[in-house]
Amino acid sequence: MQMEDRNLVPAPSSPEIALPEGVTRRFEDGALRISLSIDIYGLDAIFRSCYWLTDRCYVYLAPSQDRLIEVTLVAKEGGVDVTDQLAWDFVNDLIDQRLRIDVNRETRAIREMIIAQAFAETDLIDDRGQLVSEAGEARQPSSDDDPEGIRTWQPAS
Amino acid sequence: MAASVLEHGPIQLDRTIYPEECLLAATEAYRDFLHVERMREENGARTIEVTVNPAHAPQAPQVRKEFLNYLLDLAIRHHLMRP
Repeated sequence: MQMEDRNLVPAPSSPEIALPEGVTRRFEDGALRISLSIDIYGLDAIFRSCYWLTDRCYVYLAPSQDRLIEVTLVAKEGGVDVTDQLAWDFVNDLIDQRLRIDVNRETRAIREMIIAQAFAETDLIDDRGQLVSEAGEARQPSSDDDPEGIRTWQPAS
Repeated sequence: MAASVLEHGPIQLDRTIYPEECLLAATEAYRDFLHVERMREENGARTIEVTVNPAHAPQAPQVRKEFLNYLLDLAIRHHLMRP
């Protein structure tokens, strides 16, 4: 590839063209409406992405049928091209926000444990990673423990 | 092709997205710029009509959009600050 070819990055096409039919609608004032599934993205991720966008866009939200939410946005400055670019940024940020929310939920327990340990006067976890009892001793393994889930195992067939 | 709700016509505000207290706060904050009239309420949504004050008529679409953004800002903060 020649050096000058590297700068020839094609501009992303309009969301109207690239996204499936019916997902977007263009209005006379240049605004673009995108229908998003609440089940896929989640309302919190949609709120966070909209909040992140409101310094550059005017945004209006309206729920629609079939657990969809319609996001209408238009760039504060610039024309349709700017609105389209912001719409792509918005859709990408949605995925980012959704992932952050999922990771946050999955790691909540360990984060709370780390914070509790940081503020505790005594160790909550011993050197082997075992929870320490209130009496200050590591919890001893019991014959009732089933760490591998053997008792609840079921054959596949 | 019609203009979007950001610029023209009645605005439907769903209660699950735009809480009542946020609408009241935004209306109060923008009372020097516009008047909000409640038209109807049905199926968990209220429809409002925004009339920009004559002194700001030349910037009416801009004022309307700023009001909607401010309202959304309040609403999102309200949702994300929930415990």
